Amino acid sequence: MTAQILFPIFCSVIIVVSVLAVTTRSVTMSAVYTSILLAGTSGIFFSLRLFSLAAINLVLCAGIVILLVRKPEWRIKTPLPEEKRQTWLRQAIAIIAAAAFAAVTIITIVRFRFAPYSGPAGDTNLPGGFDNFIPSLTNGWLLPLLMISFIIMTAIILIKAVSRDRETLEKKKN
Amino acid sequence: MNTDIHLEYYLITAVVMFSAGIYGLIIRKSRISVTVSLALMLNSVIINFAAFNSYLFFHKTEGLMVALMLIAVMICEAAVAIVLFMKIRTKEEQAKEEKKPGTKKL
Repeated sequence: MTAQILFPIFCSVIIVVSVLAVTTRSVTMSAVYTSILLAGTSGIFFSLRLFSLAAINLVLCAGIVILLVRKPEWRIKTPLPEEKRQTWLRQAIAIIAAAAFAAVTIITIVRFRFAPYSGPAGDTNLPGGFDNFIPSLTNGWLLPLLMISFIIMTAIILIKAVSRDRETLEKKKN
Repeated sequence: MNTDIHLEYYLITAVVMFSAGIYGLIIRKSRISVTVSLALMLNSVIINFAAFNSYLFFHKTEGLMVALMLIAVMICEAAVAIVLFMKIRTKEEQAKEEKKPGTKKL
């Protein structure tokens, strides 16, 4: 019953915020909308009872919020210089592309009529729960791929650190 | 699993989010906005994977794991966005310093 009430709220929040995130010109507002979007997505994961994914999304959302609160110098209120007014033709092409994609996909979804799962009531051994999470991580090819993803992330952060050091060095030289 | 909410509702929400991402990808020029649009599209794909896994393949966890990997990719993307953001900040600061009277232009 609670899910029936909360699910439409989460969906509407996600839809509104995703439109706002791409239409706003301010980078800070875009980051704020993205954090709200992540919170809404975690709500959807809660309604699917995938608690691990919901927790990860909430952590991401909290990270963005902390970054915006703790680093006030990162807040850019003015729009970026390269974000000039778009032409009508470009806007029309973008709207047509997005609407065409949405229409085709929704028609496909409605035509297929996926049957929902009708499992036993009160089944507590859910795949999204933490009981099945670690065994499936260590099973097969998933762990190496995840490791690669995290190594890439670390590499990006290291590259940033190195580039920052170089910038400060160049400034000192000048 | 709550069977009162149909799978189609999740999919339609994801489709709308993906369409917004496509719109942003076409219309935006700055790299940060493009990154936000890509994050939107990735998020919609994650919702799709999670919903399909929960409804159609309830006893398996492959969809969940792929969704987890996509979240890792999204984190990488966020790192790239932060780097871009910091570069913009340094450029702005440099421009402000150059505008100050009495500073030499190299």
